[in-house]
Amino acid sequence: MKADVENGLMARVLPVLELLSRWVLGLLFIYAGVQKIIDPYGFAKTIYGYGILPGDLVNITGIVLPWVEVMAGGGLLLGVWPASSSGVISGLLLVFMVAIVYNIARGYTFDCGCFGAGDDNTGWGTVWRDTAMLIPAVGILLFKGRRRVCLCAGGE
Amino acid sequence: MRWGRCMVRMVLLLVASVGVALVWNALSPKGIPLVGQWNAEVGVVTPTPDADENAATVQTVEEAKALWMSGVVFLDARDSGSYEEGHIKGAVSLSVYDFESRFFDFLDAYPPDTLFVVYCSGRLCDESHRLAVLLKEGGYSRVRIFADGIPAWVAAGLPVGEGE
Repeated sequence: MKADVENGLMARVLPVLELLSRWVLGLLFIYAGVQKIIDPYGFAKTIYGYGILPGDLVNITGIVLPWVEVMAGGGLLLGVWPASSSGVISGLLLVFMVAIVYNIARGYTFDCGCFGAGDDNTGWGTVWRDTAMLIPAVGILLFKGRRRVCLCAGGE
Repeated sequence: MRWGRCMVRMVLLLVASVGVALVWNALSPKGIPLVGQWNAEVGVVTPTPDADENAATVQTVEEAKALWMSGVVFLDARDSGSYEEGHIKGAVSLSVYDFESRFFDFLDAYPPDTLFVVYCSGRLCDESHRLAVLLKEGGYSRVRIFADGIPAWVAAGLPVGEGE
């Protein structure tokens, strides 16, 4: 009996949590992407600053990555392919975390460019922030119930 | 939920993003070339390379010194605070951060065929590149970038000026 009540509560709370996660993450990624799209010059310099990609890939990454953020963020916000969008966002977050940790490990800290140029520096703070976003992203990906407020393909 | 379909959609999402990004970049006035100049050995690093500029880069301190000795005008592209702390002796401050307010004086003072050598604080700063672009847009075609900039000049023990 008690388990049933708890299940019922979870069944009501989880879809709301899923929806809130999608909206918050979606808005965050759209914002982050737009900040980079309006300043591709600055974002390319930021990518170069990470010192990971070969020079020939720096500009193209600076051009494409922000749009991946905006499209996946938009998918979450509107509920278009929400699981796939959160999969892409989880992948992005993992890549960001590896890039930042790699640079912390070799003693580099610099403008992280996370929400456009000149906001804050890389460090464990940015890694934890990415972790805090990764949790809801994975939650959305694994969510089994019926998703609320979805334009299309609520399942995947 | 079917993972296979999810994977396919993730790939489609990425492909669509690449498409939109390339179209946007091609149409946007702020678009950048698909490949930048990120090789510090070639010259100052920048997302928006200029083939002429790379060819005209002053690669060594010796070359810069020779130009300086021959009386070529050196321009310091950094902010005026950095200039005041220390600059190549005799260099003129033309910060990219207040280029517009200073440029008219330059038009009066220097004819369009003046040879300039611009610099900032090395190959990883881009003020020198930005100043070279601005000067070219302003009609000065003979602009060279001293890629190693002030740190190499100081390290070589060459004359440095301070203050305004």
